[in-house]
Amino acid sequence: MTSDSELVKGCLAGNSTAWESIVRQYNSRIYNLAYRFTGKFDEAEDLTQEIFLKVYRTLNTYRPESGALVTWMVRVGRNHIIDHYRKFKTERSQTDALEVEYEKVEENPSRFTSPAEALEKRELSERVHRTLLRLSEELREAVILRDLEEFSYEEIADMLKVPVGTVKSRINRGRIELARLLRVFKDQL
Amino acid sequence: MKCNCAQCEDRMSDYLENALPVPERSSIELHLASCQACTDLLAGMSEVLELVHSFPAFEHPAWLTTRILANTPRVVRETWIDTLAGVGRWLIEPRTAMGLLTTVLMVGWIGSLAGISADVGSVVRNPAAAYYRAYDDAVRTFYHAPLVTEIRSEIERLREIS
Repeated sequence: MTSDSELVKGCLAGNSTAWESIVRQYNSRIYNLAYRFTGKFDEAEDLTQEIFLKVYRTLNTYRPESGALVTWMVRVGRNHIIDHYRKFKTERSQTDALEVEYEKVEENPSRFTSPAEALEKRELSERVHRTLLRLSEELREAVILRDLEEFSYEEIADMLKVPVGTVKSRINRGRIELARLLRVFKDQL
Repeated sequence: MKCNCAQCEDRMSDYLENALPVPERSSIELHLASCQACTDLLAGMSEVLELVHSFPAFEHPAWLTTRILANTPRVVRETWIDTLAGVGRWLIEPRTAMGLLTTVLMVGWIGSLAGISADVGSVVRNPAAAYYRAYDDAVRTFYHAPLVTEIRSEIERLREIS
């Protein structure tokens, strides 16, 4: 299998197969990252494309010695999503958007293997996302990068350009907030 | 030593990730044994971790890869022919051509003023000799120019006075 640095080198040298390999290899990862940040499939699709184009344009700034390609791509993606989120923050209501989105998931069972699985995943996604999207931006991104994307504290510190101690504290506060919000959510049921 | 609620909250993630040294872990367990609020919060946090870890990974639509690849600008490797073509395009640009022509005419005019002959045949036959001859002519012309002579004699006069 071709290594990340070889793929990047190939891509910079004009090899379109290398670029295609990068897209195929990391498409799912970036798509899920975008979905977890936004909670909307349509938006995640557009953001995934925008992130890949950004990655393509800035690929010459990637240094293999500074870490894995996926970490660098997630950093580019996270910055793009945060910019996008700030730009459109005032234009939407998160809760309304989510409700519409979960209805869409229900209407589109082809994304899942069986109706029972679709329902189970839908409930789980709904509960986690409802609470996740209520967190402040900095707590949410720290929790997503650690608990959903499973990056190490050091990698997250590098991505967010903050000390490891700050990352740990944000993740802890994010999880506490989530636990409290989930309890409120349960009490409402 | 038993910790308080705030200290317990600060270390909950480390506690759940088994990242605390034994004494700190014991102090949290001591606090949890007597604090229902922190015990509930820890249980809630544990549930959160379970939920987020089992969060489904969605499959991206199949057409998305095609769309990304289709929208990526074509990657074209630049060859020496492309480079040469680029230089050629630059040379035939009216502004560049005009600039080059003006430069050639100016050099020729200054050369003729300096008395440098434009004997193309001798230059082609022996370029090194032509270069040294042109250099000597230029130096001689410079030192014999009236303005240069005047400045040099003025400098000499000032040096004698001082």
